Amino acid sequence: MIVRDLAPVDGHEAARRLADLPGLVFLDSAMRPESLGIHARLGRWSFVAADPWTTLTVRDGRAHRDGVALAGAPLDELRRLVGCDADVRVAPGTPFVGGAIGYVAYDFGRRLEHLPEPAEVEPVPEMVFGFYDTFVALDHQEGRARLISTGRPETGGDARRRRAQARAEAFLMRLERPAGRAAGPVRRLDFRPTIAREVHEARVAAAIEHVLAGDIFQVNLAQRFVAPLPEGFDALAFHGRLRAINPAPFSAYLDFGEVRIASSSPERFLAMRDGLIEARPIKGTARRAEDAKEDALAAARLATSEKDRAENIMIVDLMRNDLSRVCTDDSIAVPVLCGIESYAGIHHLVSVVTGRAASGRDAIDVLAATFPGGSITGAPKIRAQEIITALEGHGRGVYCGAIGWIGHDGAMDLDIAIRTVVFRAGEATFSVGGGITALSDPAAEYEETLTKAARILEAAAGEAEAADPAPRRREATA
Amino acid sequence: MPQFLLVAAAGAAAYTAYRVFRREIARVAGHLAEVRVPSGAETPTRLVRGSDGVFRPEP
Repeated sequence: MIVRDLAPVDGHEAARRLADLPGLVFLDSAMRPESLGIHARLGRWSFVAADPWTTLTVRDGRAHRDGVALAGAPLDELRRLVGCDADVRVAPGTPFVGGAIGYVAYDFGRRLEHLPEPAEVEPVPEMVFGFYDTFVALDHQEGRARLISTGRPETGGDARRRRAQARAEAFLMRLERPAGRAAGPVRRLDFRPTIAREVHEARVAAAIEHVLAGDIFQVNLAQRFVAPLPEGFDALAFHGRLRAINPAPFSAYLDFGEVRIASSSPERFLAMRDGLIEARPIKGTARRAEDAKEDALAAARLATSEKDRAENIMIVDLMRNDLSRVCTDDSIAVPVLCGIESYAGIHHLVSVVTGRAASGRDAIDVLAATFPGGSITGAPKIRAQEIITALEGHGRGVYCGAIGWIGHDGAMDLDIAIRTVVFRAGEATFSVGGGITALSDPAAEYEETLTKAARILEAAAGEAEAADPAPRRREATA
Repeated sequence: MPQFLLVAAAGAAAYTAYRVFRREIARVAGHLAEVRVPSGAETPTRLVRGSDGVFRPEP
């Protein structure tokens, strides 16, 4: 394994310098150092990688490796490729030591449970993971940047060393060359909702009927926004603007050719290291105020809101149940229940659920037992998913799936793919939703979706409008 | 004989409860089916940024 210290470099700039390589991925802890606060642990690391040695794609429930169909089930093929690598024991203290980076779409959930097909199926692959042997690791806490080259997929000593050396040099050449042409101004994306306010509110009312009928306790309903993509639209530049406007610990940019993703998710779905698992479900949102006093009041109101706490606790119970399927008895704990986390423009109610994986259970087992995350389905999970499909009428694609990495050392860190824009086939789409309970008010739920959409829409307004911004919310401080 | 009557009464009660349960399921299912959810086929609306920074559909 080759490890080289790099001159301090911004992750977005490193991504831009590698952007001519296929399969560019940028897992971007875009929290600024001065605003890290309680996000310091979540936002410590960023990773930039490109040119994977192989790519696993799942379409219609079938796994393909570099376009060739595979015989095994998707998760078995993922497990086989992630494998286990003795060489990672000499890794230089970075949480990601090489392995899979990509996404699992929400609709992959249909491969894990018997669920109805939506009327309109999303055409994006259900899963894409590139396997990366060379990557840049950025430690925001220590202000260090390192290039790591593992020599994968070679296994023999010399061959592996030679590959690691050659790949490191090729990446260094790109990373150390003078900055190329700066990205032009981010062009405007004319996002429009695909449904009217009345439709979303009627769906919320229908969901409440399901709750009152005893069908479910809670369901997450979303609405979608779509914009035509201008010719030559620079999605990476858009991500740069989004991360500046809406810094989040689980931001990401993924370019898998047919689908590009720019995300600014605040929510960790699952992290696993040495058998310890952590989930951080978010349920409960309040808009931030400009005035510090009012802002603190908004946070306090959220922390004591009966409706939001009920939403959050239901999902904590669901996550505890999901994790209990793969964790040792009595290892499930809730160290944080309904804590407040503050992001640009929004306060969230966040809980932390932890557990220890049972003997013989790996990251893929944990993923299979818990996917999709309960915070974006509802409870009970399967019935809630059926109702989502019936009410929303279309697949969700990447939205509400998971983005992140699974390392060759068995560690994993995946987020919930919310606040996520997908660029595909001449269109940009994103969705925003909220949890519906018996106490929900349709009009307030609609407003909540717009509040969540605000930062993405601001980024989409393009840089011409940036000169005349609306009053900006304070950056994350908590 | 008393035992027979007891079993018969318990059976009748169970059957009646089952019928009530089935009727309730059908009633709830019927009610949920009647909940009208409009389709999303309306013309998309332009979004306008409000003074609070939130974008809302143009009135």
